[in-house]
Amino acid sequence: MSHMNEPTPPPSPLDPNKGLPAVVPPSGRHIVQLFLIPGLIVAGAVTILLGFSWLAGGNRTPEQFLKNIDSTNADVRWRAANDLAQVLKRDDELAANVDFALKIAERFSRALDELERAERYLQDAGADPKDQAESRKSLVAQRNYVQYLAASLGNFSIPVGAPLLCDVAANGRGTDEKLRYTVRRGAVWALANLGEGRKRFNRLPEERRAAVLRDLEVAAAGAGIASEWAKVALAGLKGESIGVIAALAICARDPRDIFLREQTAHALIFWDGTPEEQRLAEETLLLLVRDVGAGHNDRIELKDGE
Amino acid sequence: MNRMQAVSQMRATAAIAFLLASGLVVGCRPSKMPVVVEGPQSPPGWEVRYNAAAALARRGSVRALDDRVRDTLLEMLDEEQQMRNFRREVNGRMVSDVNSAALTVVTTLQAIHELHQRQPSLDLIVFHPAIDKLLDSPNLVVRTEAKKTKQSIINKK
Repeated sequence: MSHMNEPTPPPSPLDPNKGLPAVVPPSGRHIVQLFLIPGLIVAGAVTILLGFSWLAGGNRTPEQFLKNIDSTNADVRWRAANDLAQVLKRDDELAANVDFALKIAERFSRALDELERAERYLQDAGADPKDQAESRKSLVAQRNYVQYLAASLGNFSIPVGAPLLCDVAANGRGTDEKLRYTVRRGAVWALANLGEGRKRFNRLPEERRAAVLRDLEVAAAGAGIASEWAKVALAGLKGESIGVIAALAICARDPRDIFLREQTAHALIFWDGTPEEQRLAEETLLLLVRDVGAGHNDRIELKDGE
Repeated sequence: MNRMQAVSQMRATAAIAFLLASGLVVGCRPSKMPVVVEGPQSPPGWEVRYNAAAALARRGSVRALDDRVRDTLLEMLDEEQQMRNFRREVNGRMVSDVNSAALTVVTTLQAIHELHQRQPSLDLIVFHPAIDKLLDSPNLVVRTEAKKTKQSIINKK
């Protein structure tokens, strides 16, 4: 019986004749392979994601936004204003921050003055191509800054920026026609968003709404132009007239810019106002329904505007 | 607006966004060749008139049934006219901007729906034939929105 002396080969798990492998309890190694290592990978990925959001979130505090918006570098300023306009769309808390909104309105007011100054510098730059190029670059950066600050004011859920935006929508800034219409369009668009923002305010929890109204009352009791803006915001949140529909009615009668009138019609969807204002809004829209397309029809040219 | 309405509105917005993102493309897939524009655009100023008419409807104004406004809204529901209005140049030929045309029709349907919600007693029968025609639109999103508007306005569900 020679075969009795041969070593028995170990059963192969792949051999179909040997049946299923024997069931053995999981070893420590198995547990590490199945749970610990995947767990560590997931934990690592979550940590990285949290790290990124922490880093990104660091730039989204009111203080950080104001720091960047106050930068001496014109490009940093307008990029910060652009970021703010985007963040305000999603951040309900920031969008209802009274103190922050008033500070942004102050900067918008200053930025409008600086825009007119930058335009004058360009006109006085003389024939030197280098001076011309630098002045033009400053004007474009300042115009972008104004545009994005207007968009930011429109993305708050409290109408603190309404008086300034109404003024810009109705009157524009600067002497150059392209510049004037570019800022007017931006202001009308911001007013449309601001009208929609009031619905957003009404969706806030009751306690938060009450706190915002208290903050506005405190600001309204103060001094200076900011207190006037706060009073207007309070009136707007109570459904009183704050002049938006009157400003939009002026824009609707502008004979030179089709796109401005088109945006004005859109903005009037979002503002109800007093019964008198409702009548004015309706009359304005009935006027626009008869529009015959007078004025600029090349919106791309005006959008580029550089 | 209470929380339920807000959630409902958010869902509706998300659904429309999804449809616009996917459906417009899917809806236009059968005709991969660009549609060459045939016929004239609406008279100048139509972009302004369209926004104004839609705004009156969305505000719930009874003046939305004034002749001029009603005619403008009916023109906005004319999918073929929108294919003529929204155009772009491709390889030297003017072709329809199908997505923009569809978007105009869809937003008009939504404006009429909103008019009905704000003024339920207003008789909107004048829009029925145009909405019925859109039920056979080649565009999925337009068909879906037309069906929804018909259900809410014609059937008053």
